[in-house]
Amino acid sequence: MSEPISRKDFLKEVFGFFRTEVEKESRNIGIAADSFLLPPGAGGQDEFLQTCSQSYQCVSVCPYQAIEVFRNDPQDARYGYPVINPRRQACYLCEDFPCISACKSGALRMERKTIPLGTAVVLKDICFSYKGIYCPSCVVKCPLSGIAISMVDNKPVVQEEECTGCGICVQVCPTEQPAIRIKPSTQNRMEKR
Amino acid sequence: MPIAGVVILTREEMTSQVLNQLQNVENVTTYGVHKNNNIVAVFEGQTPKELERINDKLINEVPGILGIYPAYVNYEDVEEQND
Amino acid sequence: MTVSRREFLKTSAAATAAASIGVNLLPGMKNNLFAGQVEWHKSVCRYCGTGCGVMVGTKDGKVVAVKGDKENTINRGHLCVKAFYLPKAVNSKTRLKHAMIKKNGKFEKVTVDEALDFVAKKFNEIRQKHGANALAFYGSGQAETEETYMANKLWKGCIGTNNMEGNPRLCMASAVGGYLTSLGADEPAGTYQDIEQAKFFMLIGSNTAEAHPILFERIMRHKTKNPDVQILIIDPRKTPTDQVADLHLFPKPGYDLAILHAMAKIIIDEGYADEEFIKTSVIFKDNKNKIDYAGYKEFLKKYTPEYASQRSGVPAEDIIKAARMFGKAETAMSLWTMGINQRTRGVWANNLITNLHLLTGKIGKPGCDSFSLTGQPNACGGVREGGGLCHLLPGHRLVVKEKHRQQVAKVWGVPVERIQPKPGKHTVAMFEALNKGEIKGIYIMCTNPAQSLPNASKYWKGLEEQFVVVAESFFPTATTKYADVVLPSAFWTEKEGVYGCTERRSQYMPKVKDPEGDAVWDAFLLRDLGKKMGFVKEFEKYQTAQDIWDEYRGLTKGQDMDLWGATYDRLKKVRGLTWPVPSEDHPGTYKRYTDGDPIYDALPAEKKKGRRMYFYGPKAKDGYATIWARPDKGPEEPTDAEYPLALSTGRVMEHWHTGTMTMTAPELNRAVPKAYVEINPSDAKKMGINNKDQVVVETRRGSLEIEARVIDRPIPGTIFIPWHWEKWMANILTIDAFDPGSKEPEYKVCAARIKKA
Repeated sequence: MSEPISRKDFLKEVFGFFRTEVEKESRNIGIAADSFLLPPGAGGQDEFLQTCSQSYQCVSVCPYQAIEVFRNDPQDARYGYPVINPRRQACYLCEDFPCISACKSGALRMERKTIPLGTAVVLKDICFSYKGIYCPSCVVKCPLSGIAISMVDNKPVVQEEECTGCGICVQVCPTEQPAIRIKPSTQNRMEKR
Repeated sequence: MPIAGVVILTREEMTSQVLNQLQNVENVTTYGVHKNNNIVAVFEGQTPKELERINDKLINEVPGILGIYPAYVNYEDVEEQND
Repeated sequence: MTVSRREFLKTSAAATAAASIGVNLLPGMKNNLFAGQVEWHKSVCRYCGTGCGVMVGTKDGKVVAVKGDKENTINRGHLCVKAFYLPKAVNSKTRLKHAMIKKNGKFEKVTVDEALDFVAKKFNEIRQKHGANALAFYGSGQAETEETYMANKLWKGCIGTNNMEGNPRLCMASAVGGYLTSLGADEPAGTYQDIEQAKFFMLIGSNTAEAHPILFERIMRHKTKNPDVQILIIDPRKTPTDQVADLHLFPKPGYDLAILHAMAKIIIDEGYADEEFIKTSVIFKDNKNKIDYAGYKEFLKKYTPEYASQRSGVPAEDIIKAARMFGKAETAMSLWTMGINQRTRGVWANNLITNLHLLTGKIGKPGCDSFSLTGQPNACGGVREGGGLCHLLPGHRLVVKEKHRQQVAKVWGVPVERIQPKPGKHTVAMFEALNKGEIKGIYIMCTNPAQSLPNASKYWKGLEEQFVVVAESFFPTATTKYADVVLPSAFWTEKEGVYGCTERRSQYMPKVKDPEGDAVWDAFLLRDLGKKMGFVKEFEKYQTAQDIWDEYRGLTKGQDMDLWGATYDRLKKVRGLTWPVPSEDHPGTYKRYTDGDPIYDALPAEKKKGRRMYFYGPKAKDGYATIWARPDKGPEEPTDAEYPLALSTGRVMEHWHTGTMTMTAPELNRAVPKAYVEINPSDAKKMGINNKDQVVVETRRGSLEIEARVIDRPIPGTIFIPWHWEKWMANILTIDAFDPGSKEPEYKVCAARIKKA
């Protein structure tokens, strides 16, 4: 059995990003590899989908082109609605929230601007730092580095109550599939406040 | 052309059903049932993405699969893709 | 029965999958069908000067993976993310696979042989018409020792010019100057082993977390296990290294010399000095003359914490705290890099760090050292030890010393008169001479000066006008643009050779695959060029890498950096050896100048009497180290009303130097896709600049449009740009003023201003 085991280790180390493992872990925490977030100021997903008029004002004013229109899956309820895909472009949580200002439908509201978009979760199975590769990319690039996320024992650790879910960590993560994901707070946004 | 050798873990009572279904999936070759509920299979694709797609498809569309565990991935013919 | 390759692969993949659950799918065949398919080879990382051991995985003649070498004492299996993606650099589309000659502005493919014929003819023409000094070589701290050795012989020994330089001039020259003047010989006394024994670290001018991640990891782990370990950081910028800081001093860029003097003063005044060590092992000098301890104390009078505070902008009480931390600590280790070296007074800054160790006797003992970190994998081995600078000869020798020239000429088999007794042109002077047309032909190997020189655009003129040969593994680079001939070089894993890292450790790297395309090992390109230029006798004897290493090893015998015992046979087995290694049964040396150092041990007893350290290096006298009373000096170009911001440049963790290698990995580009300028929020507010605005950074030398990153990392009044990108070339802005001693340019400080684009 020594060879198969070492082969398995080898695969884990080298090609350890094969989807199955990734999916397994992400299913456990309920985050798909390409998880989408709702724009800042949104309530729960149901409310958002009911209120949003699909005028895409938020999409056009976003200075970072972070807000896009969800076109990935016609079966998904969010099809055609504005979302953020942090792996492509994370949210910078602008001071003046032009997306919220531009929203006429009331789907995005200023009084909800401080509600986090979600919480970052590290997938230990594929994170470099859990494989003996020193990689603080997410920690270094986090706008709240040392507060929302820090290196503890050479591994990234998220402080859930501080994380805004902006997704910059997801955007920069140098594994092939992001080893850090945002668990959207959509469902419990109202409770969290 | 990437190739992956995988072990597909199934619900024991559904193993033969899963095997039957797998035999009809394109780019998947099965190599028998082992130790009650482990199906050995090989995925083939033009790109690593296709391997992932096969994987996703099986997970989502074939009931009775508990997990797919790659044991070997051969990427040797894959052209380097640089941005 | 014939099975198609595809079928074979499929069956094999299935067999492996089955084997993973303990099932033998193919009775009669062994389970380990793939044993031997991925072969692992012990090697060394291609990137920084840490020298991490890597295992390179090859399969069917290709590099498929890199993992940490668990048996290597430096990294114990750990790696940083750059190293993990090295296979992408090896297999990159940007690899240069054939030779090219530029004709009418366009590169045309030729054979390597044709290209070398052409270069030899041009070089010989230049040499005959304008003399040997019209030719130059510009090498690299990334070249193997064997490669630099061949270049050294061809230029200094055969062509007959000392215009033979390397890019370590731009990063380590000040450290060389510092060690030579303070301790009498180049390179540190201790090794990385000191890290786990140190109770106190002073990290000064070093963003260790990003530039030397694996050493930082070691420091972090050590501190986590031993919470009493204290860490002092002196750096104008808040960096990821800060996460371990107990105290951080933020001096204005270029004004830290006064802090180091003030710390020395407090250490003496408050009784932390090791008076016994000072008496037995140290002498004092002001800038030129020998002074005494009293004279040094007199010199320090001016450097009160308040004075240092006024110069540097650091609160006086923090300076006092820092000095007490250093003084009280049982053991102390200082680590520094470019923030100290890349300065017009880089040598002085180096001296002042070592001063603190000499004053407190925190040197030559476990956990104590004044330890300079190296930026390139073989700056120490190939260039500092191998003599790849315009004033050096192999084995820590100097061109100005007749005896050294004789020793080297004899081994090289060249007339001693061929080696000029005067140093050649140092890097900045070399490219200046290229601009002026005094140098008419240059051979550039394994480096990218068109992007990495300070005030870079100034030197494009000479590169454009003169005959430029570039030997490279990648194409295009900022420098190949200006080449008349490009030669394809074998890359890491495609050649064998030795890298010598920061801690005096020489490690062997095997050849594990064939070079891509027509690529040839750099040492053989140089050998064949030498032969084609007419030096057949001098070069025909080198048939293997080992031939070159053995000759070089012979030249180190009896030198302070003795590698005589480090044969290829040994190096292939062990995880490197730290010199001096005078014989094949010698295990290598942990601490120099003290017990256990074979050179110290061999000294006559009367010399060592009452002295736990004896500084025997070529620049030391009677075994004494030197404490320097260097004047305090600020940067060459202080900020003023016109250019009110101090600009500094540096690295990010995911990229390395000019990005030729790291930018082949899309994952690393994703992490840091482009350059930016870090601006302190208070400055940004004053200037009305928001995060992600496009801004123009201007200095007296150039301007650069770049994205703003408003972040609390640089202190107010300073800005920072990572320098890796050709498209946003930070070196358009930097100043080419250099240290008069080390000739190392002041990349780390110049005056700039910013406006919105």
